[in-house]
Amino acid sequence: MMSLGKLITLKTNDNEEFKLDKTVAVKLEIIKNIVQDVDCTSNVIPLPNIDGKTMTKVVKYWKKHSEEGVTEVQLKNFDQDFLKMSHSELHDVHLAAKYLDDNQLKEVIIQEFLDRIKGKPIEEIREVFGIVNDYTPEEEEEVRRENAWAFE
Amino acid sequence: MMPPKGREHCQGLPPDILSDLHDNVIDVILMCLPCKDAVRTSVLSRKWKYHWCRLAKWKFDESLWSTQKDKLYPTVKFRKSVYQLLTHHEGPITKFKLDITYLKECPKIDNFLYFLSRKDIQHLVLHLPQKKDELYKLPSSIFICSQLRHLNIHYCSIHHHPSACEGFDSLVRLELCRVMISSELLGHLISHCPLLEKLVLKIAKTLNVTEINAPMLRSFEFTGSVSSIRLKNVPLLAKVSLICENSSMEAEKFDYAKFFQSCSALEHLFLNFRYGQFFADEAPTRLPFYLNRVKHLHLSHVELKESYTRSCALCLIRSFPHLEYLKIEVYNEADSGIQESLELERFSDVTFNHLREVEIISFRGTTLEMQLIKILLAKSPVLVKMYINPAILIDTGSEILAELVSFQRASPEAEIDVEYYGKLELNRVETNVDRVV
Repeated sequence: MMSLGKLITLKTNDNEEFKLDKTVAVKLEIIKNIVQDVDCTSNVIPLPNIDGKTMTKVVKYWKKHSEEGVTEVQLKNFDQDFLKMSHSELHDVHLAAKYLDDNQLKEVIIQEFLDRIKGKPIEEIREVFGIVNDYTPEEEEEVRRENAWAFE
Repeated sequence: MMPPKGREHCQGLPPDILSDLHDNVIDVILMCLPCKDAVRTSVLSRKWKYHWCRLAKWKFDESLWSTQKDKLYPTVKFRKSVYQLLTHHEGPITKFKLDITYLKECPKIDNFLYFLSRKDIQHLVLHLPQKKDELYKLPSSIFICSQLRHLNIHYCSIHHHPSACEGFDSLVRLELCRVMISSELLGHLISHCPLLEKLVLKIAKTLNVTEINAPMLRSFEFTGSVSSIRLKNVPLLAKVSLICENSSMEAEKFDYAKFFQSCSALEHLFLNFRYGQFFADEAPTRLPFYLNRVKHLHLSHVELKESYTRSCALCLIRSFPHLEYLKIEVYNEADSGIQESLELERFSDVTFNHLREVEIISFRGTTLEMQLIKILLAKSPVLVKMYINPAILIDTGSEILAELVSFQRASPEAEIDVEYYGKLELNRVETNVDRVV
């Protein structure tokens, strides 16, 4: 078992360290597992798949959402601001949330992606997901013809 | 991805797994798109060409025929999209919603339903065209959708011998609205859904009485001729909503005692008298048994001056000794001039020992309403709030208010809250929000 300390340190793959209150951190399934499983004398948990820049965002989200007495409206405003990031940053945060098994954060990000692509032209959707169009113009035309009802 | 355990997680993930993960995210997102948008993703790139074919939730509705041309020939468009689905789809379709309520005619969907029955369908919604004279006849393939958990059907007829239906072992929610079905098949169907928790029926009068035998049923909403329903085995039924509606002008006799005798778990009752035609003059003073678990009673369209509905309302109020919340929406033209009375002495043996909150909606200050309020105030020792929402303009200095205030209150805590028209104007937004909450 991990020694009893109030703070837990999370260490990213670029060696940035984040000190978190243990009560906040153990709410996450993965941290709880590590805390329980790892026979570790220090309170440092390595996060090999997450970089410091992404983790800064995640920690900011956790802290706000576990703040005492925070109102729904405040959280809504915070989320709105929080989600103002590039597509690739959004992907990184989603991967981190997935790795950390944080369902709430995952859902927030997926909803943001949906909002970004809903009703948008195909070109913009490609941009959001970083998809390269490898169809030849003829092939693309053919696909549009095959599924014509969806493009009308 | 599994959360890492032990120390191996220090190695990190190889890049190809990360890229798969990335695709997985996009997949999840696409699964949340409306089906038309999902099919459009076929032109994103070669890799995406057939991704949509695995979409497990589909919704076909008006949004499909959005252009003017489509609106002229909606069935053509409908056929095209169904064809595409039939030929391309892979894997299960767990949820399918078809909403073609406003199409002039019902396209042929027999084959399509058979297709769905082999796709592990769990949640099926069929809202078919509202053609009263020519309802779509549901094929028996519906009965082989053995994975169904939710079934919701509007406007069709189900004509099969009960033996064609083996029931649905997993069905939790069943809704049949404007569906023609025999009482035998309906009763058979319900009793062969052992997990059924919620039942919504809006059906035309059936020839015989439908017996409801549903040991797990918790919520029942019914619109139609109440005398054609018999609750037989419903030990868990906690919430009942009844909208009395006689399809013909034929009057019926609603036997309250018989209807509620199996409802020992009832907690919540909503009753709307609006379209009911009853031939009996009076309901009994109270049911021959108490329903001790009823906490919440909502009566709508109560015409107090009409002796039958009045006696029904009073009968129910008296039969629920643990009632906590009572809402009555009165339906009254102005005072009829006829001096009727609620006969206070008939309440001499009653107290509402648990009643905490009363709402009177569409209050006009008629004699009967005032009497009812007087009785409730005098007989409810733990009342916290009497909320009155008037349908007429009440001034602060009016006699009605003075009279209301003068009524004796059994509860020292009781507060009378009259919604003034003036206040209503000023706080309209706030008031609306309050009601929604």
